[in-house]
Amino acid sequence: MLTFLKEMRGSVLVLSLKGNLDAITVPELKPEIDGIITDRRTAVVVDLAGLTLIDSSGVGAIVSLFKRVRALSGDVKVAGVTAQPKEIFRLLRLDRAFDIHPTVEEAMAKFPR
Amino acid sequence: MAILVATEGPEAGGRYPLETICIIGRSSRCDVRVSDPTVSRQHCRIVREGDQFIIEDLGSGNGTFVNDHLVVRHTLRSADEIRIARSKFRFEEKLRRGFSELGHIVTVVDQGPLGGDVPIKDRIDAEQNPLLTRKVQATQGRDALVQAYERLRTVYAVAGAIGTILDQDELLREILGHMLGVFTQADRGVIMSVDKKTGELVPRAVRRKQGEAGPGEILISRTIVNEVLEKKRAVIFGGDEETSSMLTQGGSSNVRRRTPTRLRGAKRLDPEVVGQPSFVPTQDSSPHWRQHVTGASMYSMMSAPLLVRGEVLGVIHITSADLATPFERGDLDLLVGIAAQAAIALQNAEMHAELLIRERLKRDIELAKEIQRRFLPGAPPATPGWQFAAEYVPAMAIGGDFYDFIPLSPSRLGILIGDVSGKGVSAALLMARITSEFRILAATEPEPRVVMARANVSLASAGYEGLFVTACYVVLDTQARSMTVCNAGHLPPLVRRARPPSLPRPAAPHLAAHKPAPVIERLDTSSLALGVLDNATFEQETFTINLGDVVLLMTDGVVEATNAGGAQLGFEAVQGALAEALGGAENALARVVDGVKQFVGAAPQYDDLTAVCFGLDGGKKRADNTQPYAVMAEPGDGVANG
Repeated sequence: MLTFLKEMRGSVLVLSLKGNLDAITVPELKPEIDGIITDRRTAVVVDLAGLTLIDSSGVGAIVSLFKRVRALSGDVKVAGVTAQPKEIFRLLRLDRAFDIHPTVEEAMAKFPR
Repeated sequence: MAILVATEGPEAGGRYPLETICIIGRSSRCDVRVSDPTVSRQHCRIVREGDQFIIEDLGSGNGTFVNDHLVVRHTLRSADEIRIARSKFRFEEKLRRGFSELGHIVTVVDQGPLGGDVPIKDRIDAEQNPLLTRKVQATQGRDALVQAYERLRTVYAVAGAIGTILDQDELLREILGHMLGVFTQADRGVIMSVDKKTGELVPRAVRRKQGEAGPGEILISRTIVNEVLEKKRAVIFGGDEETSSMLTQGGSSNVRRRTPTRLRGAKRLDPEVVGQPSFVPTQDSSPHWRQHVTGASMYSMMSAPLLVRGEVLGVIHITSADLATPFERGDLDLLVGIAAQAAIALQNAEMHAELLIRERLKRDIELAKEIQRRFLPGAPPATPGWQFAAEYVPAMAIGGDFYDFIPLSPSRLGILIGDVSGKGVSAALLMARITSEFRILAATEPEPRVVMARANVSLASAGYEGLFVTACYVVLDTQARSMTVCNAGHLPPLVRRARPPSLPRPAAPHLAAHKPAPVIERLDTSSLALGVLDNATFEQETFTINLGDVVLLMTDGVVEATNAGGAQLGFEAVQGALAEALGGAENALARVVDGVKQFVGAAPQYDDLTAVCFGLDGGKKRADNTQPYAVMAEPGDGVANG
């Protein structure tokens, strides 16, 4: 079960994910990611505070978003990752690729105004 | 049916089905209300005239634009863009249509002089097979009995003839062939099937008495669709001089010949075309036909649903030009009887086709697995004093695990383990690519971190969007007894130390028998997974391997092995199994794999399980480690940085 919320806060798009992001729910997220790219959003914060479980497909979806936004010369920042997803992020050393912050506000502050 | 889709402005996203009249404006009484002060109270309207929709400006302040042209009155065409102040709408004519390999297009017509009102001569409930349910009374005489007998015999004969055909297209052609044989006055037949996903009618077979027809467009009336598909009735229509003259009224009696493109593009029914033979040859001799199933009343027609247990699989449609013997109730009874048999045969053929697809898919998966297996090394290398062991248990689905032993020099061996994210053929192909690439890179680059960095650049720039790879690459120096590890987001290697490095070396080799329980060391050196960031940097670290040490590399199929209760094995259990294992690398691996199998039990395996184990055993295989290691001298303990 995955719920997501996409909202514009100023010029930053905040994508909040709640629940499980895995092989089953990733297809639901895919159109949202496509939409972010179509709309050429270059400042994106992925809020994972409500994410309880992630698997390799889920990481793949976030990596895909990250790579596609970077291809538009934009950036994706990650906020609020905890619990199992945090463990996975640590294992994959995604902290070396993603700018990870405790809260959405802190992540947003890192985008140039 | 036509709809208006709001694409821009305050109502964006709204969808409005268009009826006979639709007023657009700011007033709350409008059918489409646009809350925008620059829109007039009653701005414009869309009126249905026959089969066309016409937009008319209602004297608005800011005008009505269609495709950026100011209009007062304009006949809308599908995909026209209507702009009213800051709001935009798209006009869409929605037709139920489908495409088939035959090249036929089915269009459901519910507009125009005929579409909504086809004169139906007779109808019966197709769920009540009249051949079986209607009783023939003795009072009806011998002829009625003979007729009923003949019909049953025909149904039986047709069912026998088509019952064994499993190829769907051949089956449908056969059914039509039999229909044309049974109904001697009929000159063509069409079978359309209902697409299970979209509900659209897809033409599957068209047959004329003289043979098969070429591609064309089939127009079918909404009334027929309702009667046959929704109400599950078989109907007779057309074949009536009276309606015929009514339908041809106002049109020339000659068929106007048209080019195929014009025919395909034409959306409305021209009366002169309607009243004419349903197959209209086009001007050039190419086999384009337009076939009217709408009330072409010069023809007598029958339609019946292909019904199996209340489900409509499709429609069979038969036409006769022979107005001297139009179809009648008895023919309809027979059509329903044959259609019921044909439907069962069609369902059998469908089930057979699905089975074939499933078989083919299964074969493809087996093939992919076989290819994948060929990219894995055969037997572990034989190096005196060292033991190597590997275990690879693929999951039911195609996974992305891989491992490899890459000989670099007589004393150096590359050991690789990894996992491609995701499953299926894409993961298998990527796995095949990576193992090949590592072999090439490892042969040219001595440093593991450089090998990793180059593999990463190649992966990250290859455009596998959501795919990434975790991998651990170890270069083992069998002479120096050390290994250099570069870990890209993979599970950390575990080392079972024969002796904790902090403790002093035993004074004499025979005292090793009393050494303390083995210590498990987790090599937590790690870099970013491969394929995420093209400019990622990778780190490596060098570790000493002592006599009796065993190194375990594994994929998450081991740690995340799941039992029937949904619980995962976990890292600690693997560490425990490795610590308890006696002997060298082979025994240790066997112990770990047994631990996984015992834990999982009969639960299905979702993920590939891969583990590689190696260790220094000094040249003798042992079933246990109670004997002292005395063969080889040990170099100094400790960690050296590479």
